[in-house]
Amino acid sequence: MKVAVCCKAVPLDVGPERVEVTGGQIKTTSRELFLNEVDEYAMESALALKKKYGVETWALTVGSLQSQEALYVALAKGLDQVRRVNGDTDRPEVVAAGLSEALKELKPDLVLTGVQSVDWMGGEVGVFLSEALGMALGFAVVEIVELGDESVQVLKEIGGGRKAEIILKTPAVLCIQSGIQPVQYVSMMRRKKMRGIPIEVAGELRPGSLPASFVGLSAYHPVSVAAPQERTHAEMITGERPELISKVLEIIRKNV
Amino acid sequence: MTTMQIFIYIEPTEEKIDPMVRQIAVKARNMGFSTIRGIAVGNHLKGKEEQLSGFLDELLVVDAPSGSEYSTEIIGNVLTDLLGSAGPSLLFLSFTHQGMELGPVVAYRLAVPLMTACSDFKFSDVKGEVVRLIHAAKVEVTLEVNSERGAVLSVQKGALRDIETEGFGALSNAPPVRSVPWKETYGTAKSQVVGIIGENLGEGEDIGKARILVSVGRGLGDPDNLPVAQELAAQLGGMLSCSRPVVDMGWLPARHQVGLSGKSVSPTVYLALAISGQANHLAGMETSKIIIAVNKDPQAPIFQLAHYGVIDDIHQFMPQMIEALKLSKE
Repeated sequence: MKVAVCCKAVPLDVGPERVEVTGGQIKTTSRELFLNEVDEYAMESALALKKKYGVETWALTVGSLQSQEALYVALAKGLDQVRRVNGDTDRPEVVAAGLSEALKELKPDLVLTGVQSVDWMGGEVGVFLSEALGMALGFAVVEIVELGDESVQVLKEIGGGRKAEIILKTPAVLCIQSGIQPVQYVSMMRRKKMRGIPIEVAGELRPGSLPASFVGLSAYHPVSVAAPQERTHAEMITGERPELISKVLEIIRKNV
Repeated sequence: MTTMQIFIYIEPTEEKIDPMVRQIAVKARNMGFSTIRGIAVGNHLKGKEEQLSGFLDELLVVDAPSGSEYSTEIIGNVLTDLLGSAGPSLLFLSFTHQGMELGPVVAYRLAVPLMTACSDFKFSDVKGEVVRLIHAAKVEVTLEVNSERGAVLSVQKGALRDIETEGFGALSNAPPVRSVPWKETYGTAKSQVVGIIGENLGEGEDIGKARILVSVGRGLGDPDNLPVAQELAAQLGGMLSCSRPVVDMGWLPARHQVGLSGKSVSPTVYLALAISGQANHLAGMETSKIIIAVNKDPQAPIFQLAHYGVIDDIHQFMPQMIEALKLSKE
């Protein structure tokens, strides 16, 4: 049985001064990329399945050479194989199109992704994959209860502290929620060691010639980026700390 | 007047209908759209239709088997069918767990653009403009959308809170309900919901009942700092709550979590300590009477929602506040 984790390398601490719209794409000037936090939980889930069921684990990413950092973390954690789809895009439907082509070749029984990335924050990619691959979908999965030959039973969040227990036919895509497994620490030394391993490229992004099923999704383009417009802002309390605290306590006492 | 149809999917809720349904309807009406319909799958709106008085031209209720309201596979099939047969339309969803899942499903199947987590939008018959946050809510992007063939939009919780819905008098009665018969093609083929598990409060306090909540975020830094936050909550006569990362890291049990995935709270005072203010958290506490945020990052998004803000390091702020409270009680 084969489990593929789709992961993403993202820039951290990006403000408006480091983002621009160029050629219909949103570009950041950040050089350093890190594994998207929720995708690390997807990797941990794959490793837990490897331990319990002996599955073969793969990690895939879409991006430039820099994005291989996500795959080095995967290797350092103990995933078996990694592949990169070459290209550079901020658009979720293009990422999903690239991944779906690679996944069609790989034919996994389960595809795991983090529920959303910290850069685009939309949560679309895993769902697009389930549609493009014709797979069942489990979204915001907080527990993989049991993996069988033809089905997987999971718990998924449905909001307000409630969960739904669902059985999905496999193959299936599971969008993994943060906190599903404890994250195992990987030392910098071990990660650096992985950087010597050549990463196989599993295809090229073709943003200009998307598969037909993704074309309609692409009928938009970014116009501008800016600091978030502040429709409202807190009344800021200033002063030395004792004064700050005194003012905060006064506000609390007045209202309670 | 624009002719494109507007559909708003109405999620099941245990209490009142999500106010965002009314806010989206008012915003769409103000943009010139003449036909606004709601869609509900199953009979979860029974007895709540009056809450939509004045907002919708029609409410489509799909005659679905009990439990269908939690099957996103069924709801995705229904929405695709209804939108597909209606012609070019805009479908609005809330950016909740269901909305996050349904938006890409319906947009992919209808081959129309999907705009997720919108914080603002304006549309005509053929194009639209959407504003959304990216990069941990520190950057705002404006996107131009070609909506000639329709579009699917999910709206960030709380994004339309400034839209006044009281006294909106476009339509005075509860919307006419049109029953949509069940079709075999709506049924599930790949998934089966076998149970719904309610909120687990455990044996601890119910943060939903607190008048004062002291809420900590990832910036707490270490679980060893929790006792200080707990003492502060106790000194204030309140309870301790937290944002998602604190639960994910195992520092506090899930019953303390505030947000879309956790509990929605409305205390008199919500003291947010080192919480950056991601939308999923804000959705759970935005109705608090007074929100006071303490964060050392002046750019933290929480300051855009809070009533009062303090730029400070909570590790210095919390112990000194405890001391001040103790002194005041002497």
